[in-house]
Amino acid sequence: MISLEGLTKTYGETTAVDALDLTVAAGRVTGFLGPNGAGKSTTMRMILGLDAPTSGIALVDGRPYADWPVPLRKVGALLDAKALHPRRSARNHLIAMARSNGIPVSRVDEVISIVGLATVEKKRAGQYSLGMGQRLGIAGALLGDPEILMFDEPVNGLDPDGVRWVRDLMRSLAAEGRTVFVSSHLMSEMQLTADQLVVIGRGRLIADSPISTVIAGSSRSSVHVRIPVTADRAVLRDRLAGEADGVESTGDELIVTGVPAERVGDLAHELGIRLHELRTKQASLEEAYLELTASSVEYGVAVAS
Amino acid sequence: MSTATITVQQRSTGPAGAIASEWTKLWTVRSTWLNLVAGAALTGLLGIQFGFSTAYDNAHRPPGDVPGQSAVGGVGVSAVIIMQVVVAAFAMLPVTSEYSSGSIRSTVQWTPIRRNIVLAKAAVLAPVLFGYGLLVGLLAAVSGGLAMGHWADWSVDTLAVDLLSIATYLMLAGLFTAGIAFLIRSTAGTLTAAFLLLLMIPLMLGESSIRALVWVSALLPGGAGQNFLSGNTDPLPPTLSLVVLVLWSVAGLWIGVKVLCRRDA
Repeated sequence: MISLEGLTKTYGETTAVDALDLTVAAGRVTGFLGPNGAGKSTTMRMILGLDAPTSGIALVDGRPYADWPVPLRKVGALLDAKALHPRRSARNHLIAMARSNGIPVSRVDEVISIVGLATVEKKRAGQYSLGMGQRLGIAGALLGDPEILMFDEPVNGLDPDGVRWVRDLMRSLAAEGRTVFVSSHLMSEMQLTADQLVVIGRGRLIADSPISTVIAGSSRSSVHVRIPVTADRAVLRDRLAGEADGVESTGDELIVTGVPAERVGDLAHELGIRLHELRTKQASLEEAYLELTASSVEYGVAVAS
Repeated sequence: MSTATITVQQRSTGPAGAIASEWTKLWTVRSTWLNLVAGAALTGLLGIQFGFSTAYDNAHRPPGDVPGQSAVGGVGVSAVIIMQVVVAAFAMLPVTSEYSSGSIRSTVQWTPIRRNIVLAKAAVLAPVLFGYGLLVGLLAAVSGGLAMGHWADWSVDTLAVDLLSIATYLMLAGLFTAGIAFLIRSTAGTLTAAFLLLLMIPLMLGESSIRALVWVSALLPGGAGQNFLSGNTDPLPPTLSLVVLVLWSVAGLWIGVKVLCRRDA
């Protein structure tokens, strides 16, 4: 579990992370989203103690990262795949990493084969392609068999096979009860991978909800009801006006937002209205996300869940 | 998929893990080996040069001035004063290469107790630099002694003392350089600072007729080193010069710990 309490980082006049309160729970994949410069990487760096918070604290399982006796056993992280000596071989890089935390070298071979770099392990890390570098970074994150994993843009530069592999890896790590905290710009990817969604903008928390709630809460998620009788349409429309966020009428169709399809169906039944179609049109995560972050820029307020 | 089939220990390795990691890092980049080869070759050549020039001077003295033999270790001392910049480069690369590549962030992630990073680098460098010093000192002494021919004094006791002094000096100067490398971070900047503090400034000031400048030189790491190596007693006896050197390396490493702990990685 990762917990942030009032986490703040300022650089001179700029506030990169602004009083962030957040708990990232174990056993699920938590997606971390926000526009460029929203403070995602800075937040992750503060969790690892790379950057010192201006105020507030970041704890992993109740303690600062640096207080854990074998830190790589607690948190595995891929923040910057290029943070290595370009002329050291990938295998030697991982061996140096393993030795720093008393991890046996046999584990290095294990993670190299997990990420599929066995044939190129002797190659210098600087000669790796972007995708291979990401795999090496993931190998490093897995090295200590950690309870908590953090990935900053892990699918950057990966081919479709690699993207799917990372998705399956994240899912299986979470299924094993680990905490998985992953940032990404690829909304479609997040939609497939994450259970929980944390959105920040300008260093502030905008949303922290299950992904289904974020999508359902979007004004772009709507219920479409086709009603053949015009009078019935008006009746249902009036009935919904009190509880829906909006009801629009186009042709023989009502477009309802803010009320689930079940409720619309029940009401229609209650009122004895005949329906020809009742369906939910889900916003994509991207639509929901853009809506969330747009309003954050506009109003600059944090509204959780 | 990712479940470990081995048990990863839960007990802290303390600084031992960091030291093992630094040792691995040092010997798994080619620049370490290239530096050793370059340093050895340069010292060998300098030894030959100093040997021949000693022999030439001795053979071309005015009649009646009969010079004695020269200790071969003296050639080692002369050569090391020139080539110490190569050793300084050796000592700073484990630090500056991490800043230039960004791998310092990985190191800090692996060893979040940052003081241990500086201590581990120092613990690895100290014996290696000492050994490097013995090696280049011996190379210069042998190549210089052979070049001197019958002017060479091969007495083992003197040679042993000279070699140990050279090794001690290069170790301390290297640790100082590694320490300030954490402060300066760039390879070029650190090398410039080391070149000035270890070689140029002491060399210039040491020759001064102004007494205060001679003192400044004697109190700088390079000047203290030269006085310690050549056994000068003015203005400080060699033992005190050694103390000055030790203080500089401790101070350099202390600065390294301070800046690494304070700065965001």
